[in-house]
Amino acid sequence: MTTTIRSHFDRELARLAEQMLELGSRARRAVADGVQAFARNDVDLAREVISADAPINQLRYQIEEACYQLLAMEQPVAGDLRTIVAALVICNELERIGDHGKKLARICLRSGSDIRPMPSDDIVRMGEVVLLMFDRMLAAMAHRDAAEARAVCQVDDQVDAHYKQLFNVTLSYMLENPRMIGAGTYRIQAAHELERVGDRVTNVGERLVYAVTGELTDLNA
Amino acid sequence: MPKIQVEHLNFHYGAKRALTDVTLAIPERKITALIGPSGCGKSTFLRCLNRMNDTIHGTRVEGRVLLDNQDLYAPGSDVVDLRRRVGMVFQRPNPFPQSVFDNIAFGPRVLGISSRHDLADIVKASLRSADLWDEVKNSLKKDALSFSLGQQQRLCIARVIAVKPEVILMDEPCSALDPISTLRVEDLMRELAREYTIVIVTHNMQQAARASDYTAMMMLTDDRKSGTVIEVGETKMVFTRPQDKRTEGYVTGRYG
Repeated sequence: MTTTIRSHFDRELARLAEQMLELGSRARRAVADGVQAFARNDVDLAREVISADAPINQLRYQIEEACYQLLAMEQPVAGDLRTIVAALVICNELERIGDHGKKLARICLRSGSDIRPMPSDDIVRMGEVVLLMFDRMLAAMAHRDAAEARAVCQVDDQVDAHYKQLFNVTLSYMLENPRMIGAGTYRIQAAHELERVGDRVTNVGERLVYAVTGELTDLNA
Repeated sequence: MPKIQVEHLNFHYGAKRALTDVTLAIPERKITALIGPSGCGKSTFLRCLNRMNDTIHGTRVEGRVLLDNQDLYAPGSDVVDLRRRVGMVFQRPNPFPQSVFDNIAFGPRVLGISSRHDLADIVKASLRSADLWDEVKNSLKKDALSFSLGQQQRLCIARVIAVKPEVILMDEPCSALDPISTLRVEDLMRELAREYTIVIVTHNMQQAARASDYTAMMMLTDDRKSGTVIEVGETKMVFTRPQDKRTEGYVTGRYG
């Protein structure tokens, strides 16, 4: 079997994979910066995250268009088809992950210059768990590693546990100190954005598994 | 029960083995596509299903080919009736150099039908089934060779239908046709599959994906001296999730 046939198509698939990783990288940065902006009340950083969202959206649309063209021009089947249709779903999820980073930045701006009575260490810790999960999934994408994708999806349980704990702790604070309701609400919103990032990373994993193996299963259960 | 069951078929052209240990079930009233690289024995295999290879000197068959559970190669088999029951459409349209009417009526006449009225009914019904009646109904006496290739191929299909087959074998039936004619023949195949079992050999991957229910992938054996079936399954699975890496390589166009 030779590998020189369809070299043009293979180059296009390689370019698609690179663009997906670029999108993933930008989305990851949006989340990481969004967490830092919120934790440090860094409004300048928050504004940078918000302005970086439009290019993320644009890249997502470029990827989507490239997929449609490959479907039309190359009539892919089997593994090639699965890779392209999975890319259509994954690029949507990655763009939404970027949106969650933007929302973290917006929460930072909404909270204004109020001095937070509550620490944000647990938000940062939750952010670290989510970002590590995301990093592993991006590596799984780069290596088309379905086994790693499945393993990473298991980590979402930890993310959910972080969210529940943070929610309960914040609720207790708010009940004990009604003046903290504002700050507490922002904390819960921020944690919710991170929890959704975990869900979306799992969605990415499901489609990666499908692209590599052909199995379509719910890894988010 | 499959319409045709092939069991451990080996086929030889003289001393040269062309097919090795082919086992395949052809479902009834479905379209089964045979795909694979050139030279892997697809057309040879197809011709085994109605013993057309018997016309080639020095051929030898081992194994069984069962049509409705009856071995085609059993001693005393009626080969003429077999070729009525299992008709064939070839790559290049090959109507006889006769009128449209006489082309279609040829088979029924050989079978003993002589009434002009009965023959007219058969001709009309066959041409209708082949989606050709409206185009030729006023030209039944016209020379069949004066029509387009697409029309000629549908005429050849009508000719097969006229003798009431059970199975229609098609060896790259569209390779000489333009894209529109090709799609018309594929639509026709879908209609015909309601009544007939169809087996089609095609080099056109998109055609196999569009037009068949099941796909059998044929490939040269490891010693590259003969052909065999390496995978068979529902077409939608073969083209989205093939089991064999060689099938994946072939359908994605990376086999060379």
